[in-house]
Amino acid sequence: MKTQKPISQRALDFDLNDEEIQQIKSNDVLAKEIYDAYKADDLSKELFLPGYAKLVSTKQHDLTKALDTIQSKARTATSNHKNRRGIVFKLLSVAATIVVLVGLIIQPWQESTVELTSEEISIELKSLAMLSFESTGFLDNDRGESTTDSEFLANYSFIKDDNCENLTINDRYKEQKLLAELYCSYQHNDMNSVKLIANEIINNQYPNYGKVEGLLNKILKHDKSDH
Amino acid sequence: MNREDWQHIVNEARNGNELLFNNAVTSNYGKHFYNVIVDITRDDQLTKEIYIIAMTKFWERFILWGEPLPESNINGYIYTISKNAFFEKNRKANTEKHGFIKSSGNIEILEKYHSHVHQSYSVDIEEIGKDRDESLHQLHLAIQSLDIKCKKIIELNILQNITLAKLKDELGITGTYNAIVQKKKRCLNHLRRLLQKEFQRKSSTIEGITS
Repeated sequence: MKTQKPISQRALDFDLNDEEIQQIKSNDVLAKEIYDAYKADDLSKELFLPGYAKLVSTKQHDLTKALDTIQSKARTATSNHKNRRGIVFKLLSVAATIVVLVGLIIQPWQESTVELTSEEISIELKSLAMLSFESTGFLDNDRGESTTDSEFLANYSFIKDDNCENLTINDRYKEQKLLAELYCSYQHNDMNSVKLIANEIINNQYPNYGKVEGLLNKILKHDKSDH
Repeated sequence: MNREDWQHIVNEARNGNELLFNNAVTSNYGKHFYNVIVDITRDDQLTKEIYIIAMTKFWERFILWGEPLPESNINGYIYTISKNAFFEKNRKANTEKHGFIKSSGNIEILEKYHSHVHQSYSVDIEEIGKDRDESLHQLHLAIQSLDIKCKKIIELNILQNITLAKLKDELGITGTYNAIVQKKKRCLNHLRRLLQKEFQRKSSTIEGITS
């Protein structure tokens, strides 16, 4: 059963049924009411939770990027599959042994298409650190006040501006500290610190530890190939 | 994916691990949602955009704000959110095209509001009166209608950066720290309702003048 929320609130929640959507489309007064509700909602959230709109748009951007990456990988895989099949048919007429050789040649190329460059890893690490700062303190009970902490905000600015030298994050903000230091260590090519910090995040299962683990694997691959 | 799976994903995300949620968003798109959403949009690119808007709303409601998940058929619910997202995208485009009211953006309004705050952290009403931005007046009126504790939270927590933990006792809020966090949430909701009334009052005044 639908809740008793007013229609404007359900419009904000994206919870209207087909009939109500049609009703709004054909009723200017109702459409204006919905418009006012949106405006009031945006303004109130931005006043009470500065940066709220940016937080939501960052999440939307991250999800878009994640979906794009998956689709691009799927396209690459399909295209590789087609290419391989074509090559195999051609080469079968020449010699089966060459097929094996071709397979060996294209394998590293296939892998490289789904790998991240150092720059992309760096961007991913920075996004993680920034999102960690941005999402802290909005609604979280234990850390609810932290966005108003000037030291916290200063450190957030340092990360935004790539100013790793001035970074001094209190242990109270452990997750932000680790993610920021992970990013800065990677920027400075300090691989020992990168491994130590990443492992601390993973072992303690801090937020986004799965993502950090994925990135660490990619970093380690890069590190090996560099030596 | 059933409700239990979604509940697990949402719980993990509320605890800071959003990887499962992100993975669910990407893996469910082709499997469950592309075909049904493209029926509404009739466009590949738009389908993806609508799905992402819908899943961001899902994240905002059930992870960020911690609302309880619907009791059943989460996939059906995501389809409903997607239909609403499509409607909202079109509505927004039409609103921008025809423009109900021309006014400043939210950030600009809030910047103006902050600039009218005195050193004593009270708002300079005379200065606001001189400003020609109607939304700024409406924001001021709505804030004035809030209860004293909400006004204090705006003044001390938002404008003066005093932590909620320190404010709790000063505002006479008993209970755990969560009590003041919840109070702040209620203040936000109250302000939203007051603002909406202000905007609607203004619209009916304009209609009254023009009719």
